[in-house]
Amino acid sequence: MNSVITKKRISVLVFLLVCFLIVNAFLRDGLKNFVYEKSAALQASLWDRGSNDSFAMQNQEELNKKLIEENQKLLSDLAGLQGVREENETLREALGLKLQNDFDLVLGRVISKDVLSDTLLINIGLNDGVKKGFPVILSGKALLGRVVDVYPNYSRVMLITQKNNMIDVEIPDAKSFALSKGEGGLKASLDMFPRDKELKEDSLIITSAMGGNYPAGLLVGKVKNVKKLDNEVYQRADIEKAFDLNTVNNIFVIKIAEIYND
Amino acid sequence: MIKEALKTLFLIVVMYYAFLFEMSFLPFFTFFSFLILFVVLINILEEPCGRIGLFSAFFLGLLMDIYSTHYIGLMAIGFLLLSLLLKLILSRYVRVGSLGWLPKI
Repeated sequence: MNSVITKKRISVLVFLLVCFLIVNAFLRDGLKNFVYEKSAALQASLWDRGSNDSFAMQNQEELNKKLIEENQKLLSDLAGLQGVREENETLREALGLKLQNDFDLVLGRVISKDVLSDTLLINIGLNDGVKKGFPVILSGKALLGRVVDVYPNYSRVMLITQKNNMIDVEIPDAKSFALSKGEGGLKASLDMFPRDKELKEDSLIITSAMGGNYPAGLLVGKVKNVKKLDNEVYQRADIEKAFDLNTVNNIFVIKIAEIYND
Repeated sequence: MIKEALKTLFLIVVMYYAFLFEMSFLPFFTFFSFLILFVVLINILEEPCGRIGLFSAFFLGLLMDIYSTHYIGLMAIGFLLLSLLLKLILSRYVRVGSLGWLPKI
């Protein structure tokens, strides 16, 4: 045995292994919650600072131009939707249907992002009524992800961009369903979109209730870079996600009654 | 012994704050983990029988476990084993005389 791997080191390793087994069996959530509590204040202020600094570093002129263009497009869409809304309300009244209740939401804020994966730590947990599997959105119903770990006062949210995170989505423009697939590194792609239907650039992608994990109608993003290859059964595309990490501070956790597919 | 303990304690405190900074401030600018690079460098520059590289690898792994969805200890033991492996490779198979000018930790 050489100077790197000694008997003493091996016994320390075995001791650590046993300690970790015990900690994971009995103390895992409590210990994590305790550590998060100690660092939450500092992390929250660092997150705010990072968010402000990164926003200030963006090209303001370009951003402003993009926002004006987007605003004009939204206004024209809104004008078109006014008529549809009135028609919708009239039909609902005629059919005796009630309007869908708003979501039961819990407000929280982001504290940090995991170094190696697309997960965020938020400052609400079991004590606030959060449960594993609850969807997490931003204001404007933009989907961020869902809760994967819950501690007494904190929760961990898996973003839609986390590698291999699949979400059933709908593309209303194409009247078709597909899958949103996380690629890691804050990127996501659209997969399993039928080849025989037309997939347009900038079409909106919203969640579908088919998967059972998310309520229908939450905004996932926009279609970008459509790829229709001759040898593939389905079409693919990139997703321009609906959230920008630089502006993510406050989030809402949706309390849903049932999680079908966790 | 005391000197090494103080050095390790100092390293732990610095790494803890650097880790918080990396998780809460840096994601807006880069996804690169400077702490992992730091730990690899410590392990390369340190004497193969030294322990500071092992401590830093273990502590970084432990922090990553706590601030992620992993089981506690998974990355800590993993990083510790990687650090041992790196030291073993360096001590047995690597002879780079040109690295002699680098400061030893």
